[in-house]
Amino acid sequence: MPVTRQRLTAALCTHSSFSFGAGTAGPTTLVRRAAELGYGAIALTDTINVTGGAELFAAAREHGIQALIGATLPVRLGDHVYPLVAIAASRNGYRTLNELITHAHAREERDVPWPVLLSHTADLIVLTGGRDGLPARLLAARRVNALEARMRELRGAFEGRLFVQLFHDRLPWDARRARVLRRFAQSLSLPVVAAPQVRFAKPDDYRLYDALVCARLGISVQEPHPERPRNSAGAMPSPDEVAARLPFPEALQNANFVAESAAFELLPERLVTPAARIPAGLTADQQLERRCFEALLTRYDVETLPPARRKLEEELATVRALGLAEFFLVAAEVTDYCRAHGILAAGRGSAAASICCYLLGITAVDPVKYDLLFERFLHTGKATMPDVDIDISSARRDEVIAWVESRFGAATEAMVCNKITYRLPLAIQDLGRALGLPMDQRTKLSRSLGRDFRGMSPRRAREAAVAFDEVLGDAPAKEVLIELLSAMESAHPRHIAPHSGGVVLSREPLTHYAPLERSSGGIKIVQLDKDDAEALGLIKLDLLGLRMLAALERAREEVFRLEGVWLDLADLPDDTRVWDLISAGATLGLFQVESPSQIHTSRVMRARTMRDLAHQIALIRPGPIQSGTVHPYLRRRQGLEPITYWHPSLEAVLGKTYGVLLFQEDVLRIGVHFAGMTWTEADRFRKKVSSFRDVADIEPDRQAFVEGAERHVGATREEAERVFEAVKSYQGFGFAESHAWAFAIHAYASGWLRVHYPAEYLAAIMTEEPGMWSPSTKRHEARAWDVPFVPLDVNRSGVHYRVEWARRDGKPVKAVRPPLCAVTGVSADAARSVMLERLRHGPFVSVDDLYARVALDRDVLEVLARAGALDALATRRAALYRVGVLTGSAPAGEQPLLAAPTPTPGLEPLGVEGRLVWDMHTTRFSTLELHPLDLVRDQLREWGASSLAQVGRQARGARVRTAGLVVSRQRPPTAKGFAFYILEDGPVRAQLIISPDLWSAHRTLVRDAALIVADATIVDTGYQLTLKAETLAMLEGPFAVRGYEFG
Amino acid sequence: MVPIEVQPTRGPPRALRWTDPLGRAQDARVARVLDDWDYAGRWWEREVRRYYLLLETDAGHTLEIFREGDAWCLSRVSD
Repeated sequence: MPVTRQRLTAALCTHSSFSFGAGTAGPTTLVRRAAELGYGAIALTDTINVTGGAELFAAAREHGIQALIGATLPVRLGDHVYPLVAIAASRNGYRTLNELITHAHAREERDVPWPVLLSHTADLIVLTGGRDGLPARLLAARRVNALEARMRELRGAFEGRLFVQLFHDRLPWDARRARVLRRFAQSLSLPVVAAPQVRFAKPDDYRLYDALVCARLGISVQEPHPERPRNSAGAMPSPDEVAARLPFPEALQNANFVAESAAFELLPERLVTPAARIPAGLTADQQLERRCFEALLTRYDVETLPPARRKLEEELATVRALGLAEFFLVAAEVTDYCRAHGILAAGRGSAAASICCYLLGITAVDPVKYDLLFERFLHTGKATMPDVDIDISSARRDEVIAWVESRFGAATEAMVCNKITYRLPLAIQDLGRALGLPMDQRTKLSRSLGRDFRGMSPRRAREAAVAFDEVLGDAPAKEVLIELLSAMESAHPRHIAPHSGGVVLSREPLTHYAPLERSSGGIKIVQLDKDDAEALGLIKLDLLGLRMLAALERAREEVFRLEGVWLDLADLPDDTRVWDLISAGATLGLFQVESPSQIHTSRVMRARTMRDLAHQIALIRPGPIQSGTVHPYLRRRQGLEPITYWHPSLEAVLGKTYGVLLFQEDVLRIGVHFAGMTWTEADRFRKKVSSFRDVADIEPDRQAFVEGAERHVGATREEAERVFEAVKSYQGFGFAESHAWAFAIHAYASGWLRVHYPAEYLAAIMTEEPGMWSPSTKRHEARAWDVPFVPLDVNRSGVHYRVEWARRDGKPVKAVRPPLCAVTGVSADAARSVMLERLRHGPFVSVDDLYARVALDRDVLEVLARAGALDALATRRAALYRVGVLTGSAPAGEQPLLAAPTPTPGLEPLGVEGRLVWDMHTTRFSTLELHPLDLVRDQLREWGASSLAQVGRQARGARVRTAGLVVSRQRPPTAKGFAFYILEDGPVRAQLIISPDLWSAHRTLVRDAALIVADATIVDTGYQLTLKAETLAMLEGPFAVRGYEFG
Repeated sequence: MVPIEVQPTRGPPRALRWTDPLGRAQDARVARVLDDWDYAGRWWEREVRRYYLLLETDAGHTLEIFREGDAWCLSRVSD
């Protein structure tokens, strides 16, 4: 009789790189490899997580194989932990698995106690683990009776779903081990299953796997460890190889049987909304309609009501069709809460185009008035989650999130996670340590990567060879390290961390979708990132902390405190002075328009309306920059060139942007109104345009686009091609128009406060630190705002920057007082304890008095003395001396029993330069008007370098030698290798343009220099003093400014 | 390590020949393969993979041999 050889079709025990430090390949790579090798099914069984699940199922669908989701659970039995593989047999089993993983993460030991495992068994298939598993280890220890007892317990709990796992790692006696395990299983009438543990896709990945294991274990490759591999057996084997190593037909057959038994689709077709509060007797749709129509009558007048009503009815029909009414109501609950508690919050993004969002108070932009496109946000063909992003005052976001958790319940609310992927510096730290590179060498190497390479994926390590050569020279480890880094996948995850604001809200417990865990900072997160959450049918709200909203909120409170006026920041009057300020480019400290390129654009654009401002904000983004929009837009706006359209039909779409592509909505509208796409097709096309990396990805769309345009608007092939090319070049990030409008409102509010209440606004932005400029730069800008600073003072300063009345030239003037917390190392609690004591028993009269009344650490007292906070009590040196004497004599915060210790000797007071240096070291800025560059003025004169103020008085085209403190370094990817540094000298700043050649020639200098001396040509003058660098030199200074960096 | 000649060059080994420390030629016939395994070596020092075989000879001896690249070596003999 012919014997049919059993063929293995399922890889059941596969670890991806989501088994952090215990796998090298992403789920997609593993699926691709499994398909290549002829498997029909693959199970992902990462260690206590299912984070790779959504990717696995999507990839498996693409490659036509079956995906199974499971996890490896560390199960605790007494003092020992045994890995056990659990595979979900159904959606219900998936929930059980998630509950077990959640349980493990809730424990400090991150494991599943045996009784917990036995009480969570529904629809789970269990494999007993590989070399470290319970059977293999107890058999090796000859504890057969104990093993039998445990296996009987497992068999009872997982009846018919427990399999003894056979493995073969090509280690000595593995064949015999497999036979023994099989015999043992037979003795208990348990089925066996062939399931070698896969840790990487191909044998060559073995080295990287070993290095990652070492990094995870914190050992070097020289140290042996039982968890380290000894060969490449962790590579995915072919079914034939498994059959040869484990020649037991029933084990192969059972693997196939497990795969067949565990077939279910993880990714649903529809989104599931969270449960909103709805009055009894109403449906969600009725409640949404009720709220919207009520608000409609208050927001619109007779003239605007009819179009608004039409738009609302259309939107409501779409929302009804998609079953998303509760989603809108839930988002409204969040903004309702914020409003009721005085927290500034406003929706941003495409949601600002929705009249429902506007009427519910989620957004502040009227989409009817500004003709915003709802279809960018939602349309009936949209299968993906609508984005509702709500900006919340960063100072109070935690309060809102805590409320959301209490409102929706701990089981149905969590932050989504970010998959933190390796970049070169972190990969160098981890793999370098594994290779035995000392810490200082790793740190030096990470630093030497500089702006050129540090953002790169480790895979591109070879491109950073110059940095490796600089630090490692000819060390043998260099090449090995580069090889390891190059072998990493481009998005190799290292760990997960909370997302900046994405909250998922679910109708059912979140463990229906994924496990929950707490981040190291205590934040509850679901093991899904935002894309995975969407793929699994969850709806996400982005509750984003926006520092500018916190600053606006704080400024509003300061104005109220000092002037008794409560400002409605969403409804400020239109003010010519605000537009004059913006048009002059005096925008430092203003929301979204304070960068050097925005300052330049402000002066050209000369915005006079909110529409202008929204356009300006959207203009300086990668999409418009790369599509060549910026210059035509500005020139056409100024009347320097005629407004033209690629096709007459596009006037309706691009009329308000002078015929150029500015917004994401423009791409959508072109797709629909020009190329004849449906909204769904156009939305897909828009996404592709904004995210494609390779031209080949977008080219397949050309023909359909061109033919669509020929058919739909009668465009010629040439015209259609031209439009396609224009759209194609709108690559990378661009703003949705609705988003730009939402931001324009905040930008205007910031400008309005800057004009009307500069001191209050300055105090607010110094406290909340929105935007890109350092405290030191803002302090010097304050001179232009005519806002003086008053010194840090332990008897007057508090927790935040505050405005107080001071006198200047005999007249009252509002001045800004820095807080004690501005001093590095002084916590808000420490500052509060000083304030409270001051309030209870009056001002401090001496350093001894402060020391006796407040229990402050010596470090805090010393840094306060250095920062000048005790200047009113003693000179800085004397105060510092006194702190030293006092801390050696009695505990702080207690009245001394003995007489005061030794008096302070006469110490020479610190000069003004010394005070500046101490200020900069302790608070990153100084209330003195002296600028750090003043400390090296003599040297600069010796170099023949003019001050920036002198340079600013010269004409365009003049060649100058000048110098400045580097306060911002930008090298955006869109700038073709050019870098833009901001040099500062007192209140004057200049942009220094560094060419790619100069950059390459001075790689170390541009990376490390705090003070730069440059020979340069003046390109522009005024607020936007711009210099083109010709030569560069570095000047040693007493300190650097930790300024803004990008690119 | 002692170089060893393995016959046939492909497939399961059947005959072995090597020179012992005293310079005498030694021959053995393989009765059976007891085990085999892989050792990847210290990859960070560029060591190459070794494939080990544990063999029993007709004479009742146990030999551990390994292949590194194309060459075979005898690493252990026990009787």
